[in-house]
Amino acid sequence: MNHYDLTSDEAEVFFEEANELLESLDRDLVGLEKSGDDATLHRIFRAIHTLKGAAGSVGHDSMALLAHAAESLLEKVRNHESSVSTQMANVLFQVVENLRIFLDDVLADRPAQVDVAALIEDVSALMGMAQNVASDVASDSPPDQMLSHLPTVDDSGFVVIEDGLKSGLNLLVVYAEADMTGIAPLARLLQMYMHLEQVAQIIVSSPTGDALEQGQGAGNLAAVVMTDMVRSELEAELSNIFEIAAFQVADLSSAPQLLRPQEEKSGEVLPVAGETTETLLDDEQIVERPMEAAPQRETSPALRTVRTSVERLDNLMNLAGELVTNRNRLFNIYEELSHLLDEEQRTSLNDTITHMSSVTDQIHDEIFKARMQPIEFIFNKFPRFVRQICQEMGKDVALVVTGQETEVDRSVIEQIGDPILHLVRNGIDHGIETVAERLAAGKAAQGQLSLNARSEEGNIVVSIADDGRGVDAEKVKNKAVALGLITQEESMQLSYHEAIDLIFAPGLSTATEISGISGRGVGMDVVRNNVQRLSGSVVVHSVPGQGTSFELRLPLTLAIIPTLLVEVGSQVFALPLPNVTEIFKLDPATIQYVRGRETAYIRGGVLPLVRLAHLFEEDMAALDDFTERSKKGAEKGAGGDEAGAYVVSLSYRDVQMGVIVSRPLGKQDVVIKALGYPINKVQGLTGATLLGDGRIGLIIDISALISMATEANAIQSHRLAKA
Amino acid sequence: MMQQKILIVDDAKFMRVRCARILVERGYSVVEAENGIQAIEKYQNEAPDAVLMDISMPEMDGLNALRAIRELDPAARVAMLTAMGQQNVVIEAIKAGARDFIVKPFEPDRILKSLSKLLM
Repeated sequence: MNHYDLTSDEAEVFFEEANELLESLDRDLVGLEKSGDDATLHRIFRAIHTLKGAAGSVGHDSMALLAHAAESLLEKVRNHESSVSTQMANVLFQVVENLRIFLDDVLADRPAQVDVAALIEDVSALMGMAQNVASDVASDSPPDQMLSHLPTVDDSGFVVIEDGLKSGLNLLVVYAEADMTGIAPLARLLQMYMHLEQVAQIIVSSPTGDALEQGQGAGNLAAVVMTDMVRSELEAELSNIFEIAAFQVADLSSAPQLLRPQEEKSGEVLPVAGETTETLLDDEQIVERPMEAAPQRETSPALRTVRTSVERLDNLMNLAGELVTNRNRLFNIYEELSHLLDEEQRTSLNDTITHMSSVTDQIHDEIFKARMQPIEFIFNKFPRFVRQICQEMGKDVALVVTGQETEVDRSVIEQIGDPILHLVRNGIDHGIETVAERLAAGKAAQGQLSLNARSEEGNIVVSIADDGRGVDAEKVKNKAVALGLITQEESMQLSYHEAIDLIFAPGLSTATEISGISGRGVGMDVVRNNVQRLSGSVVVHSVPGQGTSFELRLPLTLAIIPTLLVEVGSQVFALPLPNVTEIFKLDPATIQYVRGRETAYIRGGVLPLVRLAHLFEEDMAALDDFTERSKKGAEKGAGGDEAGAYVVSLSYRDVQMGVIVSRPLGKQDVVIKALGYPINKVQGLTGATLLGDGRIGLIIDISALISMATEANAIQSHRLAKA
Repeated sequence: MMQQKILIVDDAKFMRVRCARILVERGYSVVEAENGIQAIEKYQNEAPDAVLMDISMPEMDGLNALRAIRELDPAARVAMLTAMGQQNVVIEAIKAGARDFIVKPFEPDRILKSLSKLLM
């Protein structure tokens, strides 16, 4: 069922345009409140205006009405009849929010989901006038009897009338009422007046033509004209004009005396004065700004770009990934075959493979770049978000955003938003003091939160810094002790930095009162966990009394990860390279059983050991099925055969552990492919990758692996084992 | 019979697409422009039978474009499209020779009726 009038061809343009407009509104509304310059105001006005037109066209009436109300309000601001207040900005933000919901209605093809009547009233209230002037005026009362609106003609007018009648012209009276629900009713009357001028001689009219040109009038027009047309002809002539609620033409050729002034009528000379005229005058004063003042719309970049679906880019990325792995395979095959080839064949094949290889790399890079998006997509949300939190918290914070042009892969864009959001929220909630506290501390009343992004060695680094009170290390330590995370003695030995790092410990940051803002009950531990899961890190710096900053570091892409490929039996696993600390040959003699589990002594420390085949024991059959390896092979790896085995030492947060593998295969950047059912149910894997030799490598999720191993074996951290 | 050619001028792409659909369905041929300057160019090069033009546009607004077009061709048949509550702008348009103005949003019929009057 189609709720909206939108063809599939139009839909794409409609949503694209509407989304762009909503995004620009988000940005500009924040700017408007801050500086309120004309260019911003103009952009906002135009965006609302365009949305209104589009909404009306597809038939989302609520959306159109809301946009119309907002537009009227903005007119007032543009016209310097109102200035931007916080209250107004709030209302406008709500308007945008609701427009977004309405847009979703259209997208989902469902009826309007929210009732905005109250919001429209708020908007109207801000205008200090009834919102819908037009509908107030447009009572459905029938047009007044023309006779009661007859204009009066003075003596000089009567001279013209008498002359005209003598020469055979008709004396006609036209009375018209504009449709006041139309957008410019007086313009319709002017249109009628100008039309009359062309076909008749106007003796008198109320309002006068000049007044109509000035936009003055009460919505009706009464005119006395002389013309050679008969009544019906003039009627037909004028019926061409739209949005005239009612009009009559009367022939007074035989009764011109009716146009003489009468005692009773003198009191109600047209135009009808009063409220209506005033409100209309308000409208008329609204002047469209000269367009030169409008910011140039950037049409050219749009013309040079093509939009493509994310799905298509993902496919391309995977295909390019396969090209890369096949290129590697080709090299292997070449190595194996080269002794069969003569010199010329070898050179020729080598050159070809080398060239193909470089093209493959370029394709890979280009697709990678195509997936990059400025982090602006995320940052854009924040001005509005910060504003909202500040209001709820009664704080005053200026958000300074820099580096929003920094580009990251869209896989990161999808993941980075929540951690940043939480850190921003945290900064305002816990970091920045109230105005009173700030003033008491000799700080500027307004707090500052800076959000910066930069790229650094294949990573994106986002810093979220506030100039608030800093982290109270004592408070953190006390709480950590209270929660049993550390002992009293340990807490004494902690440096300030170590102490504040405890905020990332489980339970520490969530226990404070859960305000509406700190929301969701997500603690810093979850933030750090999630970031680390994405091979990233988050660190905190704080100076008491001066502020706190968080630095969030994530790889530029999450679609390709550098790994160490290892073989366990005949199964290939990919271990995320950043977590690999070292690889050494396993000396079976050094294996000790500590509390019933295998550990290796290295350099005076104890390294707990795990066997992947054991961890994945229950799922091994499925994994083997998946990778088309025999169960037998895996079992072989799972068993002993210690002699040639290696240990790959992994670190994750504070935990160190060693994975026993048959042999390391080497480093390789792999493209992560999502796992399908039932493999996606296997805990400890993030995905799979296609290897150069056609085998499938299973990518290990280190954090999950560690918790699995911990559950299974109650592994202590390396740090604690040493202690 | 020759197709009648209508020039649609609007900076909002959606509105152009929408108008074009309505008109093409009824057998008109359509030329588009996205601002006043383009409109004048297209008017000269394409000699449309009628023009439907938005008032508020960047580069050159509809009013100035209307004046320029009427100067080039005093018989130009132009209807203005507007979603503005700005009466004086519409009044200016009428004074500048707009034959009609159509309020956005509009029913397809409204455009077609206006055009048929424009083209009489």
